[in-house]
Amino acid sequence: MSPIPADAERLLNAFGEFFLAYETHERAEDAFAQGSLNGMLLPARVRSFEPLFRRAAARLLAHQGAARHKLLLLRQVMDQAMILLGEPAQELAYADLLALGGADPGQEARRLYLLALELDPGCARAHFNLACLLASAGQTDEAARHFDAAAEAEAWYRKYADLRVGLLLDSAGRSEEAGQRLRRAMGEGHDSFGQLRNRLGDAMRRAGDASAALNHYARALDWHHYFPPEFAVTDTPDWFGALLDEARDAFRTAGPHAADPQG
Amino acid sequence: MQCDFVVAVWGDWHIGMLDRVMLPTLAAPGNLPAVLKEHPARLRILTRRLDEPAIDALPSVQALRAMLPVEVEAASEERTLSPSLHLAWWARAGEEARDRGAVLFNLPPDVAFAEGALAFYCRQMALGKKAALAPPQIRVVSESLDADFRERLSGRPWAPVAIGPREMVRLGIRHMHPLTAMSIQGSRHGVPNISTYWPVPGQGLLYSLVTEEVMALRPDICGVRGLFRLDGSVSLDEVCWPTDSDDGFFLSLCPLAKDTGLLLEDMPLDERFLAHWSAHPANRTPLGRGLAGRLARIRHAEPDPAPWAEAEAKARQWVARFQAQRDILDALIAVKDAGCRWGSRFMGLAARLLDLPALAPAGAQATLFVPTDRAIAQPLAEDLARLALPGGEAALLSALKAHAAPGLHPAPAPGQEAGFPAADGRPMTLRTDAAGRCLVNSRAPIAGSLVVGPFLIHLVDELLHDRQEAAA
Repeated sequence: MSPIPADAERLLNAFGEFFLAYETHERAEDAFAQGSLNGMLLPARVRSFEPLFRRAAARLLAHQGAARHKLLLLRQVMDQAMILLGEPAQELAYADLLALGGADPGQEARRLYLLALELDPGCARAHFNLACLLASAGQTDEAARHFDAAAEAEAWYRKYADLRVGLLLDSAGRSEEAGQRLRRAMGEGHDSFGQLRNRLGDAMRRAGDASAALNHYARALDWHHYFPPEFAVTDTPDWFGALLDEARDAFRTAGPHAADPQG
Repeated sequence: MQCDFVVAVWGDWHIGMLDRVMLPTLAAPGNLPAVLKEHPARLRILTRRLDEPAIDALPSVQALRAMLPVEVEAASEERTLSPSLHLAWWARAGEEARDRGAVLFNLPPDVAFAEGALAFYCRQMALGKKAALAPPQIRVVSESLDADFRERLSGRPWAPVAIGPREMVRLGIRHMHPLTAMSIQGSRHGVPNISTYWPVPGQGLLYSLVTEEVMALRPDICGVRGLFRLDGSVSLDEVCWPTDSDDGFFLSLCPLAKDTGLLLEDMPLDERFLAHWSAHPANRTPLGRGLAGRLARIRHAEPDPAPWAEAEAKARQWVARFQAQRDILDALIAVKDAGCRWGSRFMGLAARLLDLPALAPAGAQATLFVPTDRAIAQPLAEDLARLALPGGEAALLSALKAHAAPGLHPAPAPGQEAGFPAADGRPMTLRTDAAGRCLVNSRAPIAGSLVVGPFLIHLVDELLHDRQEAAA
């Protein structure tokens, strides 16, 4: 990654979004960090900070994207419920809360994920969640690419990426490839697929693997719950603080002649 | 009747809901004041030491002290409490209520009681009910309902808030939480739950609960276990369960974003999903299966018979399938627990691919012959594997029918033989030799037997279906 922003205006906007996200993150700001984030330090220090900023900003943007993503689903749920009940959706008392995601929260989530990836192409959460949106839109191959990129960036996503790609391939009628991916997803001792076990059984059945299918149908009796990773808080609680500490150290040690951390 | 009203509460959010929503509705004329005209009572608020002063100082608590004795008690010195600690507090409060001959009422701190609900419960308990379940309810978004209640208080620090059941139901729909919305039949997405709803347009919702949430009990008679569920010492008829929101109803408050991580996309809460969840050890109770059929109307209008009849017909069909699924799942779990790995796998396959509730309707007695792991050699023979693959459904159904028989057929006495038709109509026999060894169809030894719900399950050491026919 170049230390010089490819698109200064967009990066500036990203700085703005970063600040808004930072303020809502309920973390007391250190005056030194604030000053540095405002860009009042020497250019060399800014350059030394920039990769860290990109990572931190990308993760925050991915978090914010996930919030819009949730709103998209909550709106779908509530719109449908109001139709079932024969009630006008605008009568919902918290319509203003649901409207926080903008006119199209899905589009907004997508924009935030893409912006996060522009800042940090290794942002696993942005890849994974973007893949979920693409999968919902039927963009199977593009979704699979981002699921795999999430797994490349962070090993924790591997089993979920294999699972989701496998199910996508199964839906697309590519049973054999689906079977390969799903077998890999199963690995040793994974019990995180909870209520998806029946779907896994169906896919393995179509892939011609009777033993695996039978195993999944029996495992569907277990009590494990499937927590969708797109909404799970996967970061350690201190990731943001740790990045800020790292950023502070970078500022303190980087003088006008400090080496560019990117080399 | 002496009443012990007990509230377990800690933390800012819950205390805020207690002060601004729960206690104002509890103090409405049709609730606590109506009860106190008939019955002596005390209110016990159990909390952690840290929150004791704040609760003591709440305007609502101070106002309630003019109505009845209110005790704010530190039940824990700890700062961080397990979310389920209130269950232990309730249990202790139950023992203390029993010692003073009182009825225990567990009042959640984060609910809004409809006017008259508490008086209804007290009346029912005084008339001889042994326990009472939490009323039909709608989960609502706390952010917006709290704002609504603040408006009702109009800047006053505290005042009783009387909201009739029908207005409360309307509030429930206006502030409905997505977790409730996902529990409505017809919703595209689902969430694990112990209840479900059917929409009744223009009227409200029909409600079914598959495991009990206890709100009141006679601690001298009723035992509880696990998540404060009844232990089977009382029957459903001895339990108060309002089946009309006009009698008892509350809103349960929850922040909008809470539990979004439980959302399951494109996995609606169908009868099998709910049957599975209700069979969870924490939810499995003696009353749960029967309770599902006691449908409750949650309504905001005078009943219009036609839409209710339509919804109730749908719901009754659903409940019958739910109960059948629950029986089948219980059998499946028992077989798995008995160590029949392959038998349970094939049963799981059948449960996924075949319409088992149609084959084994709720409560229909049947004898199942489940192969032990000795009966299924590894690796899986080709004809058996084929049952699990696309195109194998008819053979699977045929094999299943060869392993089941309508009615209960225990092993006969030594030296005796019994004959009966299998589910596929073919003759089947059970013969016990002088040594007590029982063979099915003169060849398959029975290795053990289980009784699970309406099923008698014989574990057999040989497969019973015609494998050549299935392979063909």
